[in-house]
Amino acid sequence: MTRQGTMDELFARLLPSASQEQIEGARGRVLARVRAGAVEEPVALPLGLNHGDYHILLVLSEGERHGYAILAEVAEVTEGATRFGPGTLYTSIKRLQTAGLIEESTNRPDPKINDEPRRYYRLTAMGQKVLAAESERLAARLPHAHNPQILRSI
Amino acid sequence: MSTAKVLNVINAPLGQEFEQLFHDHYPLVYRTAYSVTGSREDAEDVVQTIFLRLYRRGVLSGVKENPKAYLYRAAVNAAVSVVRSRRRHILTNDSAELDRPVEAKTSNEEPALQGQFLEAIAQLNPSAVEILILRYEHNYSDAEIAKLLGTSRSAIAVRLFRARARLKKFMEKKA
Repeated sequence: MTRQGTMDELFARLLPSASQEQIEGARGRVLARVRAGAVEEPVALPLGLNHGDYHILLVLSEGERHGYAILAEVAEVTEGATRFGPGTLYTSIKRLQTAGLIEESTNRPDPKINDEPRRYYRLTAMGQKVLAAESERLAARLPHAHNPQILRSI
Repeated sequence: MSTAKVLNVINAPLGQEFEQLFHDHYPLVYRTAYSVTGSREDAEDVVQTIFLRLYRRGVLSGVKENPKAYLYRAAVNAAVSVVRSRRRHILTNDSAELDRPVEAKTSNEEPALQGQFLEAIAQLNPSAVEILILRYEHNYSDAEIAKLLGTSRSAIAVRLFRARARLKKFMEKKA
């Protein structure tokens, strides 16, 4: 076992090699396992998903947006209750990007609007899951909001 | 966002992009995992693990540039650690099982020797394993390996040479 040829021979003799049938035979089974695992996957809510983050995810669930559009839509949807300054918006975007919930998109929805180097963002698959989980969580808490005692105290 | 829309998000399948990625790269990933582990069961586990990890991270995060390279590397890494932990597991339980054969390539091949060979490969640095498996299982040329791993042909030639030499040493130690 001193020359390359001997090593080549050893690989040819000993390295396991899957047959085409074996690979294709396992394809459906493995995909099913991946799908099942993805469904069961507990969505680990990134700690500190705050109100503003949630609204960003919500806006992006409607499609890709650039920073200013996110800002405007969040203000509109919340009737001005949630407002970002440009600084806080980009801090949030950075954080959501780092967490893998949103990502920058290279697409331009309208190629004509390429007058400035605007960055567009979109949800990732993970971002969708987090948004769904957070929406469920909020929906589950909604009944408490109708608590007469709380309403009376207003 | 309407309730109906929220529900749509919750019920979304894995996503077309993700499933496409699975189908495009599954054969490469499976073949790689099987070569390194020598076990169908472990190969399937490896494939499942790395695709789920990809799913959790979000398909598009950073993988977009070169999903093939990402998945190939992930497969090698996961498969190598399966083989390494297999050895640890056996050592702590029953050392007599050490030479337990992996599935033999053909009935008359030496299963124990194959097991040793795979263990020796798993002792190498995963970046060396990446190159060896591309060469010997996927029959890539130096140029093709260099292209996939994003490095130069000459670097691959050198690393291939070193990987073989190191592997030879491991095998001789066992003999």
